[in-house]
Amino acid sequence: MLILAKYLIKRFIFFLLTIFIGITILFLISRLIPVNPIDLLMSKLSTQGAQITQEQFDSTKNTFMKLYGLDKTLSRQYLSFLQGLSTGDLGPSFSFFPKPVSELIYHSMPWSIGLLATVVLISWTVGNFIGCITGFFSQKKLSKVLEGMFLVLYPIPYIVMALLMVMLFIYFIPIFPYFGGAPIGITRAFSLKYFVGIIRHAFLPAISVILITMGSWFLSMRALTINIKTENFVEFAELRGLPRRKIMFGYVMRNCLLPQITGLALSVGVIFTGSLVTEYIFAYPGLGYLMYYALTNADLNLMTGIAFFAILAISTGTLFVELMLPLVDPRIRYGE
Amino acid sequence: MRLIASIHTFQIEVKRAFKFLLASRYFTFGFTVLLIFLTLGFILSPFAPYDPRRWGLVLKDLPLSLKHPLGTTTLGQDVFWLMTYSIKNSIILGMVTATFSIAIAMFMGFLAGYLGRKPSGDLINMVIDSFCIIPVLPVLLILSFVLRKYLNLVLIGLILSIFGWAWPAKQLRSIVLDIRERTFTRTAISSGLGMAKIFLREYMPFALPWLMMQFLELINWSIGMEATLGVFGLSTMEEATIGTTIYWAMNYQALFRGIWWWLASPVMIVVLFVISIYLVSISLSEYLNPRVRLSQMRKERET
Amino acid sequence: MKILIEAEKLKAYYNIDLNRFVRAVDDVSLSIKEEEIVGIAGESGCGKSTLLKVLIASVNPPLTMLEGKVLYNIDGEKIDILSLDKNRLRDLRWKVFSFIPQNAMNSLNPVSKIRKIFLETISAHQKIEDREQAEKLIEDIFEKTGLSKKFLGFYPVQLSGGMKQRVVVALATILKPKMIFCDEPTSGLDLISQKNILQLLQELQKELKNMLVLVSHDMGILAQATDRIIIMYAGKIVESAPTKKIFEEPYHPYTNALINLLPVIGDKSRKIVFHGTPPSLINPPKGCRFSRRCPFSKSACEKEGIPLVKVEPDRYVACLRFGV
Repeated sequence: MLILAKYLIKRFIFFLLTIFIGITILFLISRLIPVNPIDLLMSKLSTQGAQITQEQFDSTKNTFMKLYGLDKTLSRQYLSFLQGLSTGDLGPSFSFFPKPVSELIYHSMPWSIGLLATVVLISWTVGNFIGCITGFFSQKKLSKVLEGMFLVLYPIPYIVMALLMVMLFIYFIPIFPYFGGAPIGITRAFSLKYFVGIIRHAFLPAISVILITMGSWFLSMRALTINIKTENFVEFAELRGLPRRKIMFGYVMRNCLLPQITGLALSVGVIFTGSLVTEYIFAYPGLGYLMYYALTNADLNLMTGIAFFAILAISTGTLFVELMLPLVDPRIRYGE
Repeated sequence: MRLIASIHTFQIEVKRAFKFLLASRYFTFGFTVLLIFLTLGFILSPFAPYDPRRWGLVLKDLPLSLKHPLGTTTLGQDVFWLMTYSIKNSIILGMVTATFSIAIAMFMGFLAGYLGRKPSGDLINMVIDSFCIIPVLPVLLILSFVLRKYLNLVLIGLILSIFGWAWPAKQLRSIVLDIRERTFTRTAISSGLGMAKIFLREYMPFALPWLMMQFLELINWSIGMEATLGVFGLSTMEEATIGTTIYWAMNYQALFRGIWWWLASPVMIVVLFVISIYLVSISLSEYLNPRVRLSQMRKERET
Repeated sequence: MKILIEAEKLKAYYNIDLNRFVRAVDDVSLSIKEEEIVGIAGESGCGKSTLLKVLIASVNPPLTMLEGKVLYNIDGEKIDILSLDKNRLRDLRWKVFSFIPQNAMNSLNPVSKIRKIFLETISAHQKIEDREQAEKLIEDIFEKTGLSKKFLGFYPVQLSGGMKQRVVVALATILKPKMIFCDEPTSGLDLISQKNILQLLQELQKELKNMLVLVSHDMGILAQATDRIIIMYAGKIVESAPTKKIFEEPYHPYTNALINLLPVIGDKSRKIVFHGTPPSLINPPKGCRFSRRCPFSKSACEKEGIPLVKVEPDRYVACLRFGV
């Protein structure tokens, strides 16, 4: 039991540490920049046509400074930054002033989470499954073909894959629709039509990320399988005359999945980054697209908010996966 | 005298390496493509008849032809020469990123490995893992946005290194831990070898192959990240890079106006480049696998 | 007593390169009877583990059979297990012959409970209509091997080394095979566990009346547990005789040297350590492979291969000094 407790505590500390490091980096970036965010905000507001006198300008500026705490020392700003984050207050967005950033994120979040979850689920399960079988039957022609295919797909950057997909399936062979996450003009409802529409729009972005991610699971699982096949307990199982299927699934795959779960915990961040940029390319209404919007509008608050949310989401996802591990690995539950 | 001897052994080693590597179709393909790209990027590009960074030097929107093998852009650039410059810049950026990242990774990785499983070692390990997990894109986008005015290839390389060191450091740590737990290191320590000497003599031979692979992987990663930053308009705008090319192509709706070569060229070049580097790196790692080298050396002793 | 196993002219080599082989087992023939306990002894690298692999038809690349047959006597029929098809072989495994591996530590699936491991082993070889029937089998063997029933709900990681070894022994005997092969059953265990395991194997043998083959480099344990010992050197058998006779009067110089190296309480004489190392198995020398280290060697010893000769009704030696 002791070892399990130690494991859980460590994972939780890791969770907090990651968030802490992320927040600190964000804070440093947003405060040590050459441009004063208040000036940014003020210039943004003035381009929106507000006509005010110099006096009003200065007093508004001061109010904002106090609001954002920019008149305090750096360390105090950090504290109030942390305070704000812990209550979920990410500040108002510059582009939709004064709409709060959290509200914008709240709207885009489900799309991104949905895409990410789908991608991770499909690529992890299918990739591992095919990878294991290929590792088992590594001499067959199909195995070599699959290996070659994924060797080529895996190193491609997510953005390039997304662009390839756009060129191939939207331009050259127009199968899929381009914009948005759902068909325009249909009200949000739990109707089949809406659902099908969502799938049609999400299909390409999902496939784009899946192809690469599945490649990584395939290749690593295949290597693991080839390794574990020669382990003593597998050999002993063969010598006991256990049927091949039992050995493949119960012995080899089952044991290979354990390091793959750990690997999953570590890669959610990378997959998320990939899916964010893919969202932008396909104008899919998730956080990736929101990020682009924030950039074009110099909306520092929104950018920081999205980054913070991403760090929080990934850390939570990682923690969640890590908590799964003791359920399937008895060595963590009972080890000495 | 020592120097000449070691150069000589180095030459033999390289010959041996190529003999093995060229036997693999994957390596041959990858290496050839890389050589082509290196030639295009560094040898050909200074001879570009039209400076790709300037606009309006050629007729716009021309499709592929003998005069313009990859067509021209809406901004009046020749795509082919634009690509040679981009390849060169991508390689330079890749090397900058890889160098800085590996430098940091070596420090963190060896530190974590040296501290081992003590609480301080665990903490450093967690820090490394944190940097592995943190979603890199949002943070990098903000950073690049904020430093927009000062961006150049070296700065982008530095920025990318802020996160680029994490995965190599993690691998390095596990290599160091693995070696530590083997008997010959303990023998070295008990025979009184100083820490630095242990580091150089015992660890480096094992770490070196991994570092080479990491170097190549980092180059790949930086190409991808630069393209990503570029698409958001946050790459260096003065230089011709893959990222900026894609940015302008998308901005001018190249694809939907039928000027597909403007977008397809950078995309295909990245695809080919990235795959080649990857194929070379896995062939190298296979070669550097100790068991493989032993059997190679045995084969030689016979002939 | 009828003969259960006959191995004929086995040549099993490790293929390390296109045309290069390590001749781990080079022209070995032997036969073992029912209920016999045979030890196979020799130093590391002599080929005894490889021989064992061949005897249980576990020949995987880079190990290849160049020549030879291993005939099992099953229900009056002589079957060459090396040429059986995979399914028939799998069928015979564990019911007719079983194997106790060297590394019990790593031989059990880390993610399965012990009960599951037993149940799947049983169900691989006989239809269990009745789960209770299987449970009874398991209870039985647990009693015989001195294992507590609560272990059934444990994972391998929760058991000590000695316990795991017992579990493996129980697994190997649960279907009551007539032939049991053991590879270094006591290596990696402390002395007390060693004694326990040996005792266990002997008790089980008395009850199940199976043939037992023990491969070990430890002459001491072979002296306690076996009826007959086969000595191997550099891929060949050099002597095969009843245990008592080997220890009272070893014929082959190598056997002699092996036995003399065993420490005896009260014996303060200096041990003669023989020089040199075993020859390379890639290009073994012509003639007797021990001749270079043998204190009695003559020029004739290095000329051509020395056959294994029956010098007494139950004794074979491969040495020119003993009947050619």
